[in-house]
Amino acid sequence: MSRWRCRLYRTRLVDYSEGRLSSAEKQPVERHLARCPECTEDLLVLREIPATLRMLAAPDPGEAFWLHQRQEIARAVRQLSEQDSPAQARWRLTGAFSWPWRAAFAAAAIAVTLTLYHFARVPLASRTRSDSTAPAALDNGALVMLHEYTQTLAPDGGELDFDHPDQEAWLAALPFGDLVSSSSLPGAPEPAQLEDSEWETIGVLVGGFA
Amino acid sequence: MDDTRLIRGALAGRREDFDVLVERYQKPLYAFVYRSVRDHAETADIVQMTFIQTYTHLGQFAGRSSFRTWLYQIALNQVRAAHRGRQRHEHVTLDEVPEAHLHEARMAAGAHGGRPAADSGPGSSGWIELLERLIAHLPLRQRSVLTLRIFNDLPFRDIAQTIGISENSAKVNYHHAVTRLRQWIRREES
Repeated sequence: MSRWRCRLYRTRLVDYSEGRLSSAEKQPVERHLARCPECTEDLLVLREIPATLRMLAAPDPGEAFWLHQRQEIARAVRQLSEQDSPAQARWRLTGAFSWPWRAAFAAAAIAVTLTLYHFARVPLASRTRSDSTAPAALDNGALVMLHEYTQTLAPDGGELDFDHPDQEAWLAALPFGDLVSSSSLPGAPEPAQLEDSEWETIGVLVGGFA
Repeated sequence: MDDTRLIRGALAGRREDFDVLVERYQKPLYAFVYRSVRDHAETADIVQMTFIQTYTHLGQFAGRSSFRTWLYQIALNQVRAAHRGRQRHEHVTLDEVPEAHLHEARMAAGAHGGRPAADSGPGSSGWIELLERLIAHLPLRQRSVLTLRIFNDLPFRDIAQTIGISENSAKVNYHHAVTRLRQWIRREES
């Protein structure tokens, strides 16, 4: 089984190892496990290593330390509260944040929002390769793009339209992050080769459709 | 009394309510920080500073996350600052093999002649020390996710909020951390 496909199951495998999947959610994972010795081994490790680690005792420097530290914190808090209580500090902060400042802040927030909105609308084809090699695993940017991808190919949340004219451009530009290891998508199957359960996994990941 | 009431009390000037919060979270916070910095004095400083900062900014706690998540966020920022200061262990890639670190861990765990000692099997003190040191060599994000999940029992949703990543990314980091530990342990066993 291609490790590329296995990446689709990583998050589900973690949930599966902790027994947090419903029986319906388990089925595609179990089908994959039946064909994939690597993921079966990963599952074993995901169960064994945490169980072993849970046997490690919490570091405990002793009751004298805990008591001393609480006293130190209480002393610092007392000094702070004699200067200013948290409520007073909040009031002062709120008071300092007067209307001219609020207006300036609102204008800045609108400018930032418009900039982000504009960036989000830049055609995918014009995005640089570095966008698609973003190392973050399933970060917000990747999730947004994945969601847009599924929305484009299945705008009504129905079946994916693999003949969509923009499909190739999407696949080339998608920053799959952890789902796909690099911009050249080594070993990545064609969309038509993905099984329903795998599309379902992608869909669940991006919140596009269940 | 739940955290929200205690926070309200502290904001109203009842310092003893904040003391309860300190007592409630002191030990789990210490455990989380210690597994990141592995130094008692530094951990003690970070925990103390975390609570002082928490009190100072209590008025800004908006309740969008749980108090526990917010507290861990503040602690994690302190840990990150400490790591930036020390400039170490930050650039270990997934496939990088920490042979030197393993050797160091092996020796510290009581191994002899570069091989695991007879009492270094699972459950032994040497084995526990080795695991603790291997965890400390994980990249900070993976270590944080692993520690918060296994030792602090936080749900992935809260871990994601604490670290500032998506829930799925937290799970992927957890998967990486566990499988990487497995790789290192296997290397150690062989």
